[in-house]
This record gives sequence, structure tokens and C-alpha cells, in this order.
Amino acid sequence: MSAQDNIQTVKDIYAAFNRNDRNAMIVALAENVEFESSPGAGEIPWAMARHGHSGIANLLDQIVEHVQMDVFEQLDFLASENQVAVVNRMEYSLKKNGQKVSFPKYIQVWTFDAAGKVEREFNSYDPTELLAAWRR
Amino acid sequence: MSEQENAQVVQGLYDSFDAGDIAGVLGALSDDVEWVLPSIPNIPFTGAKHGKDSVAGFFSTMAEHQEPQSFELQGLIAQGDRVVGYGHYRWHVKTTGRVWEGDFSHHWTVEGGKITRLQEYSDSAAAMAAF
Repeated sequence: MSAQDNIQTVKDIYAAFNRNDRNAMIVALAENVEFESSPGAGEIPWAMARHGHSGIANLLDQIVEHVQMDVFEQLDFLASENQVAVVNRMEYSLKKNGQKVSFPKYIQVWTFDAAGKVEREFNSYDPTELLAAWRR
Repeated sequence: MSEQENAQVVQGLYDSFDAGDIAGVLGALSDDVEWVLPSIPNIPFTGAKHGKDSVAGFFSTMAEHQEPQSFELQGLIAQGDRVVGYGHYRWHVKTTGRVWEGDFSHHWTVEGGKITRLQEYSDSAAAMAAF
């Protein structure tokens, strides 16, 4: 698969996420896909590491349970060989208390296997604002 | 410069940092580089720096307060004049004796063979708790 193919797959995943089409998301993922833990893991329910399609389905359930997404847009895509890095902007509200959380930019990296399926997802952001909102 | 050459510039900076060669790190930067880390209230070297001299001050102040225990670069991705490096690092805070760690990503801009901008994304909550 080319770098452009991988960028298109990542764009398709975001589009599927935004319309809550989990089947379209999961079909792009390898069966043994790994989503790395995110900052705030241990306190934020959806930040823990996930493995395999069932793990991702559980992640999506937890996001829907806890988060009202207000803005989720992709500002830039970078691709090299088998990886795509995405610069995201995200704003959401926590359903448990209505607190708003904003990430003006954060980085997400998708790694592809030889078949063109996502085998690893990595993201890094500063969780300080999220943790403060979650604790209120 | 090609994307591959831009990636090499950034890889060279990481190699210099790994070797403790801060002069080598600074040599990869443009004179008016923008160096943007999360601003953390109780950590003096964080926040935005402008210019190579200011970044040199960042490294000397950081060295007074913390030292790397590990710095694992897991990937480098280049497109146009942008390069993303990402991985995991662990720091020992000299002033408190505590250790903090987390995933990081670095969003670099490379122009004319020199780094003109860095934006770091990392876990400032973990850092704050260790200081």
C-alpha cells in the first residue's frame, strides 16, 4: 500500500468515527490491532490500552458513554512508508458534569501492516485540562 | 530539501541529544527558531522559547532540574517541511528525586536544512506531579 493509500484509510476511519459507523472503522483495523494507552490512563476510563477488534468496540462504547464530541477535525496528515501522523483539533464535553475540554492540537500516529490494515495507534496530548475537568 | 533530508536533520538532532551533545542539537536549529513546550507553572524551563540563544538557556536550565533516564524515539514521519517524531521518555527530577514518564510527540518544521519550529505534546500533569 502506498503512503497515499494509508492517508485515505485514515481519513476513512475519522469519517466513520464522526458518523458513529463502528463497522467501517473496525474493517480498517488488523485483528490484533493495538491502541496504546493515552495520557490520563488509570483515571480517564477511555484512556487505557486496547487490543483487538473487541477492545476497540469497547473503547468506542466508553467514548459514547462519557463524551459529547463538539469538534473533531484533522488539520494535517504526514505519511512515511507504513505510518501516518495526524495533527488533530478536538473539543468535547464530559457527559457526567458538562465540563468542556479543548485540545487545540494533538498528534495521533497510525501504523499499518503489510496488508494495509492498522496494527497500532499512538496518540499523545497534554491531559492536564482533561484531568481537571474530569475531577470536578 | 527533500522530505528524507528533513527527516535526517531531525534524526541528527535526536542523535545529538542522545549523545549529550547540546551544541550539536543547537547546530540543527535556525537562529530564530520557535521552541514550544507545554507551559507548566512550577517548572522553570517549560513554555515557549524564541531564538537559538533562548533554546540554549532551555537546555541548561533543564539540565539543572531533570535528567533523562530513557528517551525512546519510536518513529519519524516526514511530509513536506513538517516532521513528526514520537516515543516515550522517562525523567529523573534532581530537585525532588522523583521520576516521571510519558509518551511524547514532537511536531517539527524544517526549512532550508534548519529546524525553524518545534511543538511538543506531552503529559504535563505527570511532570507537574514530579516537581
